[in-house]
Amino acid sequence: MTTLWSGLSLGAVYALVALGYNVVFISSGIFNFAQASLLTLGTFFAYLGVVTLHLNPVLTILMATAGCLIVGLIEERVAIRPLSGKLSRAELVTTVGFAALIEGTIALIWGTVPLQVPFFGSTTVLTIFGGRIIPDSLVLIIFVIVLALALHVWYKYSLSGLASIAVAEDRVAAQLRGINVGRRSIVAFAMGGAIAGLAGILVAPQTYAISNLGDAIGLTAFIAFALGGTGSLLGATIGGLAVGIIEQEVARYVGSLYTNSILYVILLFILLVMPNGLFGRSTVRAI
Amino acid sequence: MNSATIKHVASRAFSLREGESGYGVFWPLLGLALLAFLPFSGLNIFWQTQLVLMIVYGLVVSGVNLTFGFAGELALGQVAIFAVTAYLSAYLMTHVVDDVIVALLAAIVASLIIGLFTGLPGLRIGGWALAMTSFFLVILIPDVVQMIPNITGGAQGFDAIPLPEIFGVQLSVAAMSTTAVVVFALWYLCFRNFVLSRHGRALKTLRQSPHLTASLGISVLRLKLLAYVAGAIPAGLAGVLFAATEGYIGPTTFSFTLVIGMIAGSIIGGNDSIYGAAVGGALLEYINYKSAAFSQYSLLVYGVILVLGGILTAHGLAGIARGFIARGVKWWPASKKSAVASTVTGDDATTTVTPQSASVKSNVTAKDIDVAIKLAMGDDVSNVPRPEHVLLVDEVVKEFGGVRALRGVSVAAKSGEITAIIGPNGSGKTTLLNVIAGVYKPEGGTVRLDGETLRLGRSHRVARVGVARTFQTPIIPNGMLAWEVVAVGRYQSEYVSIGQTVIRSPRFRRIRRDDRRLAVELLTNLGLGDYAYSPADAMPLPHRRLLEVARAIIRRPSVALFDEPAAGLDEGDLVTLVQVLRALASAGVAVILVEHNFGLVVEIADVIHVLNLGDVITSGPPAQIQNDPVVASIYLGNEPATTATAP
Amino acid sequence: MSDQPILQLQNVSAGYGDVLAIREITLDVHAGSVVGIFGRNGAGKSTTMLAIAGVIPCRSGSIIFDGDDISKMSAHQRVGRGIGCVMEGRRIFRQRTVEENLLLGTISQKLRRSQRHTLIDQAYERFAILKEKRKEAAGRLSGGQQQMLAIAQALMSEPKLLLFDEPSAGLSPAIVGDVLSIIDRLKADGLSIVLVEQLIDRALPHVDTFSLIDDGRIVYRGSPSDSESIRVARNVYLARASTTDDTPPATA
Repeated sequence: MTTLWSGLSLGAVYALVALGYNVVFISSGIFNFAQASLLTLGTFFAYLGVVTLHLNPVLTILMATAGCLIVGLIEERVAIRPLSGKLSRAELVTTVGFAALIEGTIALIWGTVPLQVPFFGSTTVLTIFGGRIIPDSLVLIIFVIVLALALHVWYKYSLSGLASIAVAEDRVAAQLRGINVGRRSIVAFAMGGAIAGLAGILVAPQTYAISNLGDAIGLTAFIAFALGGTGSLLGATIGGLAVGIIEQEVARYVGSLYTNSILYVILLFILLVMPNGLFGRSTVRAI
Repeated sequence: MNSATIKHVASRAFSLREGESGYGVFWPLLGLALLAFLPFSGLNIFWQTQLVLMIVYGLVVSGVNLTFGFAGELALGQVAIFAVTAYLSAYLMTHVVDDVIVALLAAIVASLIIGLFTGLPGLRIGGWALAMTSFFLVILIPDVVQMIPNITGGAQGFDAIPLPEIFGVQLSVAAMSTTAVVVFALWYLCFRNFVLSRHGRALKTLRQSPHLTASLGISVLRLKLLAYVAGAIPAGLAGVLFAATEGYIGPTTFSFTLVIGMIAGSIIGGNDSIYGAAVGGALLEYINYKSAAFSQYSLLVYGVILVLGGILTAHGLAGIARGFIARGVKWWPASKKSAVASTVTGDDATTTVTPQSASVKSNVTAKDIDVAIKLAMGDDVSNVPRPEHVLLVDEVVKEFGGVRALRGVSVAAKSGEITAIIGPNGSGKTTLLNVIAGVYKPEGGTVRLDGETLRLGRSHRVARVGVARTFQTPIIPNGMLAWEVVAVGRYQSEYVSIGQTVIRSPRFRRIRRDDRRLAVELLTNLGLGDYAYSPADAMPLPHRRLLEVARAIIRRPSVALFDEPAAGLDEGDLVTLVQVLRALASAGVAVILVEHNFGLVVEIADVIHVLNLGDVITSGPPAQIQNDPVVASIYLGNEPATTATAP
Repeated sequence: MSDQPILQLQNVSAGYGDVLAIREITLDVHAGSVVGIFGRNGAGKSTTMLAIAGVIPCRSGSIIFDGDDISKMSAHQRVGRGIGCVMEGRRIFRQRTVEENLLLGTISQKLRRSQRHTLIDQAYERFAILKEKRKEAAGRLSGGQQQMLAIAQALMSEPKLLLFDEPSAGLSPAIVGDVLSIIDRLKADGLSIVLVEQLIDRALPHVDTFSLIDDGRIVYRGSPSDSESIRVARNVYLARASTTDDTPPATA
């Protein structure tokens, strides 16, 4: 059971990034490789707030959210808008480049040694359903589920959210209804950044603040994204949690050396056999 | 060999200008030879090692160039292959036989195998999902290394790799550097010969449009795999050189940062440039070296390069830089059609020859075109009976998500006739054309050519059986001259193997000559002679349409499908189009035309099929169709019964 | 004041890539009138509409709407100005419900929720069938119902000018009749309408004036009352020489 909890808490991180992928993808059709780096940035903002500046958690969260949101906007302006819809391969290159920029800047400012960020709440180990889990992880899992629900509600019931989905379905028709398609893209990147910043203070205690955190997490979260089905928030959440559980179970019973290899095989299987994932719809096809 | 030939070969070899056969081979080889001697001329050990590292990265980047720059697929397994061969050769040289040639050969075999294994599934996926899967391979490296620590030295790495021997002679560091240069030179020759050939043209076509490539009979998957596996080889060679020179390899050597650096190196050097890889690799190593103290900087630099480079590439500006460079090297004057190829292959539009005639119409007569096409189709001009082709479309049904675009359509087309398919919007005529071309697999019905059922849904197979097609908007690849665009039509039918291409065998040379000769001849006879050596994508629309037609003709098809060829053409261009279509028909091709332009169709078609809402409403010769009240009602919207026919 | 056309196209040329699909189109639409643009497919009708809507830019020439030059404005800005559009093939959001589609139509206006729902209720009054299907996915509606939805959706932005792009495409004759009647009603309500249509015989009775496009240019302007017009139009469509005598059909 403990393995299950640790799988869920790891999976929550993956789900976070996968949700970020989806938010941007739904509104703009772009796969933002830098999403995981934004999460990394969030953890460093958490470090800055909690350890360096000794701010209270609320202020830290605000700072992290604002900071990552702004970086997300910068990314849209610098790495996405200049492409103005040409060549889809170029987006991959520029988002990878922007991820490198974020990672490089972080390393420049904070170095490459992992930094510890203490959780603002209690650190006593809890025992739930026979498994051990620390409060931070529990809060993180709950946070991700709440976030997914909140996003779901936003997309379904707010006009802004509805407009974003409409853009994903038919860009030209959306324009002709008066939807400012460009703005949808900006909002999407801002949201992706905000999600990353918001979660930073919860993720950092678990993963430490490491400059190259994004590399591995981003790729594993991609598996979650593909598994859940592109364009599906529910899928991203379930996919992320599932991948986390698989990873921890494999680590426990087979060995942590083999987790990535098995995940790779799963990824290939998904992409080759069910490219729409579990919940994806072919109209919002990624490939 | 007479003196003229010697002079000709020599002038080509010594040429500084890039021509159809590339830059003359002489100068780069001279440069490399000098480089090979450099380690022995007083270069200290540190710089000898740097030289090898630059070559190592240059090799890996050239692999990326092949898949990304030339074929357009961001498949990045090169780092994984680099790692594998590094470990493989480290093991071989330490435990088996310390010979560099053995290691290199083993590396080539390993690269080919791994390339095939990772390429086959990966390329089916395509797009950025492929890029992500190939990134993932890098994450696997440390894991796999630690799974077999006995062979790989595990997390501590593989230490004390000896400098190799060659045929029993121990190599010093300097000699190792020279060996690296030699290996690079050999690879450069192979790479250059591969890319500056019809294979390179096919890759550029693939990069532009897989649809177009398939319509020329080329298997897209196979070509992508070819580029990928070919790109695996230099990465494999790099692994050997790296292990031998550094003496130590560990799992952290092959990191994500390296992958990003490779992409950056590829972009900097120019994605599809032959020399770019060397430049990119050298720059990579330089950045590495400079930022040894500040390794964080390298990520920042890479990031900037990728973002800027991605933006510039998207707008096609990357070629501009090369255009500037190429213009500076304009030393060898030559006439445009002489054997010393003179124009710059690539994006340098300023050396375009300006044609004397602004449009095609003033140059050629209908008779010229007729002769040209018959020649291209392989006939002599006498009226020898030629094979008759019959295309039968039988009850084809095609659905898209529950909507029936074609409801059981049957049409026929014969050699020597122009068959037109017309109909209002939503009638299904373009869908029908795409079914015949093999792009769509119908839900019901068949298409038979000369009795054989076509394998619909696989357009390259249909194309190989003798079906050629054009596109609504002409698809003309970037970075190719007009004649090259036409010559790609012959890639599949006159196939030359990679091996023969790389060693420039007599068969390769002969087919290369034929490619150029036939393409230029055809273009000249169609009135586009002045453009034959110009960049094709800079040509005006009517000429690009004609280029597409020429590309179809050179394939000697049995059936030619034209998708709205008249769109955007003015009066004069239409005249040429009519002449071309008629000549094709009389040369024995079954010409099928999907068109909006009623006037054109009425003028040239022998049979017209009218489609509406997925059904064939009526068929017949133009006069009948024009006066058919049912047809009028489809277009005008009135009920047929209320239309009074001419008394 | 009412003599100033609500929409003016002045020498507009536009196209895709470097194919110019329409050249030097000049057109006036007076407030409260229905102007037809007829022609065979491929002639340039849809391109004209897309240029007015702002989906494709004008290569040259200008478009004046309600006194302002809108040539440089993006599509969504033009919607805000009062141009509505019913696209060919009923381009609604098939995976959204009918109600969501209508709601999306209101997005160009700054309104409170309640105001938006008032507009939606008005649409339900006009098109009863939509109220019945309000919770259904738009893709499930029949062709004719989707056309109603597309029209209702366009009306949500309370436009002054409505563009119809081939409303008959893919619809049975009976439904085409329904759509044309709706156009009559909209005109009666004071809307200005541009009707792009291929089926000239069906559409002619519903327009005040029309222009005939062939090969990207306007080749003829006329009105339904003029019997010469229809004869010329038929000849253009069927690429016949104009000497062919042909009695026009009795109006349906």
